[in-house]
Amino acid sequence: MNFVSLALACGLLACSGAAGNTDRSAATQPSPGLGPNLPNAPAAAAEPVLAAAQPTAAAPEEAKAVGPAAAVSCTFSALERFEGRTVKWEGECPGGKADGKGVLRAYPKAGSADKVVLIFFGTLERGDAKIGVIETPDGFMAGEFKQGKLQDSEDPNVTIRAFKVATEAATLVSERLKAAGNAASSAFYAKKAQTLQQQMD
Amino acid sequence: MPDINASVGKDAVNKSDDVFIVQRLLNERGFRCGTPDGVCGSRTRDAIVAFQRGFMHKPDGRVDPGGSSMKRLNQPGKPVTTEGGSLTRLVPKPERSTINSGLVAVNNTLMTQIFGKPREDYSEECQPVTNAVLKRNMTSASVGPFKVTGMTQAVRSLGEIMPEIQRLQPDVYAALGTAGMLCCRWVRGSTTSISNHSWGTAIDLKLNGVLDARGNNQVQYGLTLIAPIFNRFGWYWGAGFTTEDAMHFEAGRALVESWRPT
Repeated sequence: MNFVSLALACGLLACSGAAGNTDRSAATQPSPGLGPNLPNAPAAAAEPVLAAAQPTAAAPEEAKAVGPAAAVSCTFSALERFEGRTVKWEGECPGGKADGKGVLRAYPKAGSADKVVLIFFGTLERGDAKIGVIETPDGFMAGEFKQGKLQDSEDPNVTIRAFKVATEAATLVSERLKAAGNAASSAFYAKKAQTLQQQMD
Repeated sequence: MPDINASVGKDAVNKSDDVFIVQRLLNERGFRCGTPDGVCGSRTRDAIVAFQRGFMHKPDGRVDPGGSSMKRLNQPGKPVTTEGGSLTRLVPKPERSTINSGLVAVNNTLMTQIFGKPREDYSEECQPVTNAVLKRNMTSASVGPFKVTGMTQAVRSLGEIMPEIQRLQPDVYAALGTAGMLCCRWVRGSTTSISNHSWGTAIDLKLNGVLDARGNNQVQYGLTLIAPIFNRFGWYWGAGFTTEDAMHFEAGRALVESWRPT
């Protein structure tokens, strides 16, 4: 299976490399870099970022490939806090749906003064987030997800498992980027893995 | 607007009338220092520091006549918890000397000596307590904003702390959640040290569903508002650990000693 790295506007309906000056072929290549907004993140190389076709609906919606035949189509459901943002998936995409351990990066809305990138580390199953951790500027939101929303749980094992899966996802992405020759991004995710691993006690 | 004639707090003049004014204003703003009595004790000094954390990178524990702390104490009608942004906004980790005053954290040796081992083997995940005596002393109950499972005495103590938080810091109370209390497992990365959660005397808190990041020497502002309340009930705040762990609160040594089985 191809390990793909695609940028989709969350809740949006276009998934192709054809928006503006994006490079369709680049949609199938490993992520060359990161967003510019995380502290100590390596300088981002150009990567396919798709413009939003229209505002997202209130309910989580599936991003779907439309328009000219895309080199790769990969869909996933919107995640809370990611609404209206351009979202990039680093992970497997079997049968056109984001699946397995990986990372979702949500970039700030175009023209927004908000420069914060949100990151989900965890597991998607056929496009739906199942368990993992969202990193925000103020800390971590961890646990199981249903229809894109974090489920409230007072069971400590849920939080522990979420951070374990998140650590594994960050490690997997780090290794993939290292294999692709992207040392800086690999180191970034390796550091994230370490932080996630040490969060609980 | 009331003002003081001389400084109040740490290394201050502390005239009785001035201390009384500051104590009253602190209480009105939710930074409880007890019944105003004109005496600047540790509780009053702690309350000044907790108040200053909302707007000072390095609280100095002192209120000067006409100074910024006095001006903020006199600002009417402005909820403290919304000053400068959300409850989860990050502020520098407080100096260790300004938190957990008079409290000592527990360790595995003490806990094992008092209560015994919770179980014989551990892993990275939470496993049940198998120590029969300890197991009988575990309770699940709502403490207000959430339900917990822990040592009965600790759960009861939380049941006293939460109403106090609700009374003094209602915004924080409304945002409170938990990542869990009882959890028998190794400390992360260790195969010799048991987590203090294993005895059900520690709890990890969330604000608006967000866990404070461990070890970055920054803490969520809302946690600084409730830490003094926990301290008053004998609970130690994990921001004072060598590796900052601000989401973590645990029964301190003296409190745990008071629960020693007879």
